[in-house]
Amino acid sequence: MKLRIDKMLKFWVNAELGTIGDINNLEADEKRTVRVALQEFENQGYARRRLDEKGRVRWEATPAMRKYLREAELEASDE
Amino acid sequence: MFNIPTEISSTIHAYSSVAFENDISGLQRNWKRLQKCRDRDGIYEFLSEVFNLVAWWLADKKALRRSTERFARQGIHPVLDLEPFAAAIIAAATPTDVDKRTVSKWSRVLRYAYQFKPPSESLKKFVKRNGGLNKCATLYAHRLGRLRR
Repeated sequence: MKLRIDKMLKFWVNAELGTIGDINNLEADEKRTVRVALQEFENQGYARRRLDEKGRVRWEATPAMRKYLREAELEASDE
Repeated sequence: MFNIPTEISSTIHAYSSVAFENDISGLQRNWKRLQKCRDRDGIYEFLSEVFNLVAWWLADKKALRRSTERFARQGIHPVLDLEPFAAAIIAAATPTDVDKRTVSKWSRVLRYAYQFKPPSESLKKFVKRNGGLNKCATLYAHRLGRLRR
């Protein structure tokens, strides 16, 4: 099944696992690692699954992750 | 920032109870905001959150089954296929009680939207385009519910 991930979450998956390019062109093992990462984000409250504008299941960043990133950006700009 | 486990789980992609609790906590925060909010459109934000969560459960039958089982363990018993809408509203409002008729009305609105709303249209826009919450609940009864002809 094709993995659909929103831009912000994709950025963090890439940051955690190293640059992985197009998630849907990965080897099976690598794809599995991405799925584990997504589930871990989900369990930590940073990712969730919802339907996209075409009614397909998509992984997306939660408001908690967006807030975390906004605060991190503010901290960075203060330094 | 995040701890990615190196051990590969055999239950990849399962909707865990932690993830379920996170989703319900999100609804509860939204419900609390709604209680404090005086904006008459605030209800749409809450109902959209419920709709978006339950719509993906309905698209993923395993997630739906797991959620239904978890609701049952909490004493919330969805009875029909689409009743997770009502169960999610009740869980969001816990520990406060929501009037049964209100839950029923909102649930009918969401079930009507689930059947007829284009995925690209927001719930608020869809409901307003169809005459508001009361009208959508009535439309559900006429087109899909017990008043169906």
